[in-house]
Amino acid sequence: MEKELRAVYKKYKQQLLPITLLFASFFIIFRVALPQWSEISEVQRQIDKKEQTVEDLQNSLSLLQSTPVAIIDRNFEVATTALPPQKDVALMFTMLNSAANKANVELQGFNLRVGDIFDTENEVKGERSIDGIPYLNVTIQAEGDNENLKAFAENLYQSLPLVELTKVSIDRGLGSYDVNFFFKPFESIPANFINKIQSLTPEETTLLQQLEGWMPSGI
Amino acid sequence: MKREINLSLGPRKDNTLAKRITLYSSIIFSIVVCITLGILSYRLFLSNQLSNLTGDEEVLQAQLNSIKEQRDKFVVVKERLGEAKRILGRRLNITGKFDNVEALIPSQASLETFNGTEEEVELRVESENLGSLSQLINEKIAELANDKKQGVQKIEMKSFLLNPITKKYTVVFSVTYK
Repeated sequence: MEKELRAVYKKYKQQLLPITLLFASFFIIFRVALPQWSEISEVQRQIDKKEQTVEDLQNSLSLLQSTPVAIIDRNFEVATTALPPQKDVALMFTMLNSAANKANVELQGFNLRVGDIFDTENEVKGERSIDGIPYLNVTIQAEGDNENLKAFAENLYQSLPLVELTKVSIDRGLGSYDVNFFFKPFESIPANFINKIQSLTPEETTLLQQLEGWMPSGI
Repeated sequence: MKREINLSLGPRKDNTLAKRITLYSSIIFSIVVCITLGILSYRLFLSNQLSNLTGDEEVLQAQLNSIKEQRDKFVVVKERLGEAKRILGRRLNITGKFDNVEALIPSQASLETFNGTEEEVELRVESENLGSLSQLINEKIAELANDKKQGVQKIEMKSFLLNPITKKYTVVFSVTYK
């Protein structure tokens, strides 16, 4: 057997080396070079995405560090007064009193259904909402001059929390108002929002200033 | 005796082709190895770059987490301003309707009752002056009906009466909007 192999080797030894080299070349191309090449595009894609994330984080960090804490806190207070995180009856009553005082009418009473306070199934049932924003419906009675009762309705629209009037009845000094008080519970913030914090646009700044002007007195 | 001795070694074998093939295959192999090493080096470089970026990201995340409260408040403010804008853009304007119909009331008449929703408004107007109510019905209400911007679908006069005690005329009419 050995002699036969030696004979084959002697016969083909000149062809053996190039064949081995070519085979090795193909092996390296298909098993090493091409897989690594296709991985390069994937890694490059990851790098591009990572660079964008790092840039967003840098911008977010510099924005937060350049904005005074007092301003952030005040803006937060205005935003959460405009849309409280829960059904805040005390805040609603403060707002109604403020609007009534401004319009020179007297609140006679209000009627509301807060809804479930405790539920063993741990979910709020039947919470009403408009365009996904939940609200609490309140019926308010007030007494005063017809013009002042109308002014009271207008004052409600320039107060916080944000409300919507669905019905107004003014009858010889007595007013009845059907009001939806909007609120918005805190929700967990998606990661892409946390990493990419943007400054307020001019439109948002104007709106914030408008809302701040509507803050109930004393807040 | 003469013997023929053949000292020839046989025909000379020409192995130029074999040498050439060996040379070419060596060149190809060298090129392939060089290119592969280049690819591997680049791949290593990119991995290193990715690793550095990941480190940068972690550092920045840690810095952001250290001011988590401000960050979350900022996000909440942006989010709520968006919702507030939506609410303000779609709020029903019942007091606006009140103003529009109040503008119709002649000076000698007074608006006694207003009942308004988004779809319908009902008014009760009183006056001692029949002429002013007549003007309200014949002119002012017609103007309201013809004003396309108001979006009036129907205007209905529900009652017209005279209070014998106060001697005041009372007209009740409703405006239905599209």
